[in-house]
Amino acid sequence: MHFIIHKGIVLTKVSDVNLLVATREAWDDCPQIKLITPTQADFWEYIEKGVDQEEILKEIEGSEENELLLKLYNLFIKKMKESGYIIGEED
Amino acid sequence: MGYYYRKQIAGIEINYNFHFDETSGFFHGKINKEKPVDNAVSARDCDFHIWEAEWKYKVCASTEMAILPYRTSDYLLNYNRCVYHAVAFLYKNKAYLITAQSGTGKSTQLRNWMKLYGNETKIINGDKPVIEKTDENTILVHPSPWKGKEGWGDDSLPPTPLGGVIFLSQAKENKIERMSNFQAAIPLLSRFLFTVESEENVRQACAIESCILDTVPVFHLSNVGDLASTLLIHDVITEVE
Repeated sequence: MHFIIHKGIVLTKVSDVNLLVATREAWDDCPQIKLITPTQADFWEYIEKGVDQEEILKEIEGSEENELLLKLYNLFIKKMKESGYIIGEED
Repeated sequence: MGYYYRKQIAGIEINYNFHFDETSGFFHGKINKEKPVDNAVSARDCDFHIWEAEWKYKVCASTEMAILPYRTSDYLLNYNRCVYHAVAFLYKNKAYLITAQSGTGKSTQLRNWMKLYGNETKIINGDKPVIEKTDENTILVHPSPWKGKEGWGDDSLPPTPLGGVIFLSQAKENKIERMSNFQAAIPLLSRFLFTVESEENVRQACAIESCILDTVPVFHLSNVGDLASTLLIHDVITEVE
């Protein structure tokens, strides 16, 4: 399963700060700009590339702080769904 | 169809296609009539519809002039330049931007500044200067035709290196603090005036913003709008100097 993201969302960086910026076509459904952490930016990159969730979870499991990362990942996905950046999922 | 003109803004020649010939009047004669060209910068029908629906602007020349900074920026971003919502002044060889939501007191601060340091200050632009990221990773501030309701600005001023940015908010007490990149990132980007229609433009604007954050201090002034608050701006920017 992988997530479907809203069209027109740009992951970008200003200096050392990661941002999700919605282009005009997404303004009705998503916040225009959202600050995200470097870890969240890594998660978003995976999602944006259409990486299967199982693959992402495997990556997390293989990391040193897997419990914390899993919590952060689940929270991030929840927030991204609530704010309209993630609009669905498909197999 | 339309009225074709050519105008240099921030060192870049721009072809415009106006819906209304009267729009050229807002450029105060410093604009040349041209033959029709392809891909001229112009306000689009959808822009007029949005401005009418959202803010009750009539479809007329003054609305076209208000829309044009956004379409102009879409073009200028290809040259590392963008129209920016701020007042810009020149003080001791550096340009400073004071920015805030409309009605928060940018003009009041500039008026105060001119009272205190008018002899050593020139107003670059009173509402929407153009900022440029150079190849050497510095930011230059240019005059622009969008001078705000006071008409402040001097088109003859050369591009000036940016010295700092000050965000304003109204408060019951005066306080100035340097903002971290994390604090400044969203408010700074929100003042870039472009249509945000393309991913490419977003990345171009963010590249300019990165350069600002990496090269000049950004401050937040909570203020009551008095001269004492303006002195705080002076203190911090001269301290940085």
